Amino acid sequence: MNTNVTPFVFPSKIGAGTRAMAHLPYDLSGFGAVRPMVVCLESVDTDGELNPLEDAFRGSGLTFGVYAMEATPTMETVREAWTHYHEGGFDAVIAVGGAVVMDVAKCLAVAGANTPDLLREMLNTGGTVSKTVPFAWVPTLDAMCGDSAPQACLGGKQINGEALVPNLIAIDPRMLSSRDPYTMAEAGLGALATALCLYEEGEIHGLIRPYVQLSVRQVMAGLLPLMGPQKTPSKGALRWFPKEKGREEEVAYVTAMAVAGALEPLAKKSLTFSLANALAPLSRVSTEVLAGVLLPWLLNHVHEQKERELSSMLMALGDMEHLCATPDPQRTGAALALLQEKINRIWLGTGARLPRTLKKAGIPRERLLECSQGVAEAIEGWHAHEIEALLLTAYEGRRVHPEMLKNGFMQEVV
Amino acid sequence: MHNPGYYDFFCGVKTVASHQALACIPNLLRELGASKPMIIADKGVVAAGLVAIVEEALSPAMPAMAVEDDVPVDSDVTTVHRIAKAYHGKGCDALIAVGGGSVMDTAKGVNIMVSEEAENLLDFSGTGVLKRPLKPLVAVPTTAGTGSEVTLVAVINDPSINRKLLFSSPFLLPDIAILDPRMTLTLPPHLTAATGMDAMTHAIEAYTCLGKNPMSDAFAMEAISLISKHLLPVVNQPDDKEGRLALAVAANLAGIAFSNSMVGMVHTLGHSVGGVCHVPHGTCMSILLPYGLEYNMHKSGPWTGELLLPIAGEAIYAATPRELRAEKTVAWLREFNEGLYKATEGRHSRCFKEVTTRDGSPAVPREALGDIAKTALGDGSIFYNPEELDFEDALMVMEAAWEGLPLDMDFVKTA
Repeated sequence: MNTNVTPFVFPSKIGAGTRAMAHLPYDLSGFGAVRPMVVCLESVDTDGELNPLEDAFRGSGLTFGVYAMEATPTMETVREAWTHYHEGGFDAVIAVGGAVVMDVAKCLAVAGANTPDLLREMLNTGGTVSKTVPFAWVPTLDAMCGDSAPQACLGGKQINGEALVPNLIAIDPRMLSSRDPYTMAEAGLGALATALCLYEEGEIHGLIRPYVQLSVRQVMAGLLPLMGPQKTPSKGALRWFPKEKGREEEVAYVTAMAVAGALEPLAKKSLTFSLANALAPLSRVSTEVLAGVLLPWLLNHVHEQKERELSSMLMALGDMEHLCATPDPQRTGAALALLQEKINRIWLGTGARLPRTLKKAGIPRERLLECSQGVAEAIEGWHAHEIEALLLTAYEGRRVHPEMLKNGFMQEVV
Repeated sequence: MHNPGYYDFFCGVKTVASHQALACIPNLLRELGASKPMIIADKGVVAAGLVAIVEEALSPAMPAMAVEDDVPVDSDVTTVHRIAKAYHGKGCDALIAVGGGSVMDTAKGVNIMVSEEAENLLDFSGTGVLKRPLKPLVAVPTTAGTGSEVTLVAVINDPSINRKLLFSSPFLLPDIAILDPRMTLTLPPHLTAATGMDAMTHAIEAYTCLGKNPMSDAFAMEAISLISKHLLPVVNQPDDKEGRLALAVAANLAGIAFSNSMVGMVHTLGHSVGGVCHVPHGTCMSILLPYGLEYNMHKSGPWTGELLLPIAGEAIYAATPRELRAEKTVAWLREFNEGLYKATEGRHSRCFKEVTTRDGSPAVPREALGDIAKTALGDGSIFYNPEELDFEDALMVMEAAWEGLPLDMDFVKTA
């Protein structure tokens, strides 16, 4: 067992399924909150998408206010939200949505427990947050796996801290209707990469393995049936919710986003995400997509060149029958093949809009060397030539001969 | 098949699991703003040298301000009040619980008292009474185990009315759980077996009860896999540190699983046997587990069948037809118990007639089975059992578990 001394915690309470939001008033009152402010995009408010939340609060004795934000927030957005929060006597924050909405809501939760000026200072210094007001998240299908992670970004700056993890996450099917397949694919790849990149070092710590397996399985159970024209509900997801209530796949998918957020602090230390973050400024796609492009190649390299055992990955990607049918020596290969197959299906579901190579992602080939050198300095156990060879593989989308990797031989692959 | 429609999941405990996990305590407490911890333990833990290991890990960065080691086998209100007073007297600002379930519950009770500055613990019994975070609490389990380092309940006896009180709140969860294999290295083989089967039962009941959900399932399955792989080897080789750590992690995961899904009739009957005949909880669990699965098989058989893979391995799983996997799981658990019986030279009991008191007399007289069955019907965990249980059913199961014979499935009611 991997026994690196790393504390692990995922402090959110997740409620998932039919009328999940109905539990919010009671759960918030457990934190002493009676008057939350909802933060959402303007369109969510004007399109009546908050009606189910109103239903949930009706009869609870609690009321909530709404701050409808613009889609490109700045510090001034948070300051304005805080003014409403403070003057309105609110005592908790509920984020409805994902991505930028979560960032603003988290920042508001920090400002609400401190002051906007302290928030600004933290953002400027990359500070660690230790205190927020009670904070709930009602995800929509815009959710990304970083939304439940202990971080928030605003205006290109970032703050960190466990206090930024939502106290409550209410995954309610009524909030999971409208979706954009590409956004979901992007987020799904991000969640897959966040979970599976932890196999870079070989066996995953027992404490973390359930979160990894859960993230991967829920992404697969939720995302793939939602992509493309043919929606085949997965048996696993249907087991939990009555069919007539609907949206089992959506609930599974968003649950994966929430759980993957717990793994994000570990994932960002991985080579996969170190490379994805380094390449993102050079690319037309997001870090999450780049991580999805890199992951299969990297894991394959780790298995073949560094001889790391990845057989337990099959438990996350496959089902019991698959695991039984695959002899131990074949499991890593089977898992890697399954991973590539899943990614290919996601690609298909977006109508081939996702890149599957770094080349298609718009990364200039000549920038790979500098990227590999930069990352090699930051990551232990990897040489620059190794990383460069990996990047070249991911650039071209086909395997580089092992001899080329060993010798650090970088020539144009024909 | 049961369909929950909605489920929730929570485990807010920061957990460190490694061979030197204890060394993390000072920094983690400092992050919580604490620097003057009180250690709560029992005499057995002290005698085993475990508190000394913890104290060594704390010092010189953060020496313990006080050590309270007079915690009884069953946590009680008098002890909690006494320790809370000592906490204030020594100027402490955090608690470190080193021990099993009783020590953990005592520490949770003390935490209520000192955080709420209360006069009487009884004012806080029940669910949802606490409204704010408590003082920092570090849980260092010395068995693997009850999983009480990740549960949000405490059961504390009120000797004035001889009744066990339940305290339940998310705020009772420890802030930190430290899983360090040094804490279980000296656990004798028969106790390792019993506590390991306690954890196994938590995980299996979490996977097969009506409250199961995708999240608790993931934790339960991992726990079952780890226990199946490591328990017997550790019983045979007690100084296997990797195995001890794996079992500690397994017990932790099993605790998370059942905290988020509940349990079933194995706990219903086991609590009753413990209450009426004072048999240790782990012993009750290991004896009753196959019977609970047998009794529920017509309802939860498919789920039980899925457990054959982690319990017996893929070869057995693949070779067993789907419709026979549940029976095979039960058979394997009985064989597992048999293996533990042999490895502990008979100290791990396979049935209740084998369980003895310290003076060698039977701990569960046959005449007590009726009382046990009657008492069981008042236990809350029965609500999550896949099949209903009445007095006749409970008595039938107890009689079979007493004799050590499989259930006669012709007599199991299929409501």
